[in-house]
Amino acid sequence: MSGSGEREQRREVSVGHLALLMALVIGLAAFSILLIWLSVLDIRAGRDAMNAFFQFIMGLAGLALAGKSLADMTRMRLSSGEKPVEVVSVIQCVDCGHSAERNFSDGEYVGMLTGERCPECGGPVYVARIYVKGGGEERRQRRILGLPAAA
Amino acid sequence: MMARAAWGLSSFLLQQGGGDTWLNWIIMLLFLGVMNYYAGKLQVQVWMNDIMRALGQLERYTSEAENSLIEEASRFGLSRQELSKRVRGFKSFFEIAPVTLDPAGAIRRLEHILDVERDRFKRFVRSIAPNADDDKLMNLTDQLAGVIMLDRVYRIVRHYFLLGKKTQNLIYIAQIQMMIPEILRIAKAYWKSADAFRKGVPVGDSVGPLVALRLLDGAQTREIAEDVIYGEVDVGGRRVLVVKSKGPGGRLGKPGEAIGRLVDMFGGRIRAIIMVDAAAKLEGEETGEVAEGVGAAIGDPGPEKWKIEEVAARAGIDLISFAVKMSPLEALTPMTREVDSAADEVISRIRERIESDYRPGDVVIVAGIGNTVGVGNEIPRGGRGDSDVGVRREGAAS
Repeated sequence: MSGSGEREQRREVSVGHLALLMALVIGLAAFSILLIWLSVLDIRAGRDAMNAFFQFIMGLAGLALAGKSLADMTRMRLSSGEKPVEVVSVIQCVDCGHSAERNFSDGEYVGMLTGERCPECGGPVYVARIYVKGGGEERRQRRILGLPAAA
Repeated sequence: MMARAAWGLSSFLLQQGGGDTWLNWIIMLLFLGVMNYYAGKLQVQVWMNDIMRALGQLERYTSEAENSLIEEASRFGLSRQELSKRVRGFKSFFEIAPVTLDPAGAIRRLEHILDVERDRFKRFVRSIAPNADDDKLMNLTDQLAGVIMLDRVYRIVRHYFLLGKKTQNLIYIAQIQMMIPEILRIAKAYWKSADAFRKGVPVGDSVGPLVALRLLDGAQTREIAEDVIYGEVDVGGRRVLVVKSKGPGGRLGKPGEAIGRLVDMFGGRIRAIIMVDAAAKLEGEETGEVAEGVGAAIGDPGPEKWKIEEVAARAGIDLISFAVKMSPLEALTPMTREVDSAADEVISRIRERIESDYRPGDVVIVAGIGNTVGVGNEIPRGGRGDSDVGVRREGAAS
């Protein structure tokens, strides 16, 4: 499987795009710090307090924007970074009901006799369940809604 | 050196911006005028870039789904070159909905068109994979349907993008740009479904047939309508006729026809039709949440739903539905553990409903609706199943 489930809802970006965004964020943060520094110098020197105040506010706003952009970037995912999903089959003994989980094999379906033998009683074994392990999207939504993680 | 230059530039800009000379005012007004004219164009350019990126993504989804189909079909007779040529020729397949200006008989005409379409698909897939068995053919048919859908979406998005670019019409571009997230979500679902159907893994939409299989719990089954089987089990003294499409290939079958025939066979003894299907969840709802309601839970284009509603209304039969919530992506990609567990919950609720609302001796139909890929027709005899629903196995009624 190349990947599945809603856990891949994060925005995909290329390496170049991410590098450009990073450069812009760093530039914005640097400029904002410069503004704040200038405003502090102006205030210390007693020059044009109103102008210094606006510079300070602009610097703070720039820093906040850079911080938000950085937080957004941590939620992005590089295009090549798809995690493969794990499909598993739960096999169960026809006679004693003993069950075990293992990787899915091509051609298996629910209800199929696998031809294997039960390690407990030696009875025939069939595929009882096939599913993927996941649930990342739900965890993300619960986090957004401020709910505790589901059991 | 750099810091000093930055200091100088910042001071100059701030001095310019902070002053109140007539020159500053003119610069400010000129800037506003230029931005007023170019802001819209800049916005359009940003939207066009978004659409172009989405088009690239859609093209990748389509070609990957197509390659997956060709690779899988090449195991059954034809060379990759020949397959590539044939699939490319068939990709733009379309169906024309019947005229509804005169609604009389529209359902019958729609059903005929869908039958012809299904038949055409089967013939085509048989021609590209002559050595494949029936179940594999059905999985390849589902893969082909995904490729056709992706190609169609790609062509439509490309059409509006080029039309917007040609006419510089902001509305065309804005509309398509705003729909892109949803379009990509759906396209991604079809793209990922290719892998599931190639391997024959149950998808989220298979939850209906999975419920039916577990409810049957090893009872004998037989075909009652095209690609639909049924078996009979006993639930607390009530006769339960369980209907599902024929697996483990990716089939939907004609459950409406099957239910109609069962109602005819059992006369007025049928008290309820209980349907189970996957349903689209709203954002914030949990995958695998089970909801109960009334009406025919089936997502077909119309004919099968109409047949079920018709027979239920004609014979005065209760029409009850259970829906298992999931996203469109989860419906078309390998089944999640939550959906698998929901199948057990549905069985318990169906059992409760039958035992509380109907008397011993009553006959109830339970129909597991959906694509039955990866779900067989019978659990081997003696199989206990994780879902102990307390049903007694019976042979199929004749």
